[in-house]
Amino acid sequence: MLLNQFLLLAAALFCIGVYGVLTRRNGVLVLMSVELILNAVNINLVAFGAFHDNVLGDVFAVFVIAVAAAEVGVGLAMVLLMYRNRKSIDFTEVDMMKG
Amino acid sequence: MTLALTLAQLGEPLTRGEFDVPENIAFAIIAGVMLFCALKMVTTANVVHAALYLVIVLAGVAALFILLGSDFVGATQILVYIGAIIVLFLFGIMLTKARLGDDETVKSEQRTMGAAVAMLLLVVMGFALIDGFRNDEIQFGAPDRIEYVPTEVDAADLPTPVREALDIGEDEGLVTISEARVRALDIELQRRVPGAELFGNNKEIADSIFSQYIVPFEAVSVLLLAALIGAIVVARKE
Repeated sequence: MLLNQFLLLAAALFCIGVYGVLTRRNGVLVLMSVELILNAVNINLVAFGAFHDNVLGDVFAVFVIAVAAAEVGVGLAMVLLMYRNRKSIDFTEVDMMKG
Repeated sequence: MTLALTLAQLGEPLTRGEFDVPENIAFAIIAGVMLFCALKMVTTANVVHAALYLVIVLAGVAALFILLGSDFVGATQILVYIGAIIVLFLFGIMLTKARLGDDETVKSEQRTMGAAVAMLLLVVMGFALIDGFRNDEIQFGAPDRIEYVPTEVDAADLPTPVREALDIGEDEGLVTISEARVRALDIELQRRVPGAELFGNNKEIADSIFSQYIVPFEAVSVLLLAALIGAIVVARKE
């Protein structure tokens, strides 16, 4: 199989994730789009690992999965805190630090 | 006189990574489903539906990992993402009482801008990838390698010119050829050794994580502990 088919698919998923981060209001959906971006990166890592016949891609993909799990935990806790304080998880309303 | 000969090459197809039809069909199906579900995920108004579309995308990523021969990462993907993170997302959706079926979850004024940015990014990355890795093939498993035959070979396996050059009869059974003599006669005795199988890099992954990358591994465990404590501290009621 061509290396490029995996890389282009990952690039497309990455861009879809960027679109989701930019356009969604719901905080949980923004976190989901971030997960999409991280998964696109993981596809790249594993594809390059297979391309170079090397396990380092797999090892780093496992590390990225662990870091993504930690990120979702903290991110959702922050979204819950925001909901409790403001009764809304609309990210466009979070502009307290806007100058 | 140079006799480049290969033993034990009969039948074995030499080139790996030729156009693999079944794998490419599987890839096309998985990629199509993933792209469709990812697009639905970022555009649907229903938050729970978005989480379920994300499940399909994550399962597709796990299928791609298995297609690439990384079964361990694929299993980890299913366990961690579909087993844990999606449940966390669904809990987050339920606890925040997100308005279900609400069109206002999509910022219409930023939709064109977001689409433009994403398309620009896709065009730039796509051009760079096509330019950089035009026809690079992924070779599954280790490639075949060439090695010298052992010094003790069956005389019947040797081709006639080599036997004549080395002065060996055909029915002598196992004969010992010193490497020095092979080199002196300028005969290249080669054998093609098939490479490693596709599946089975779990041992190498374990070796790598628990020896070379033990410090990042421990750092990740500390990070998970810190994230756990941080999430509790942030989300608990005063």
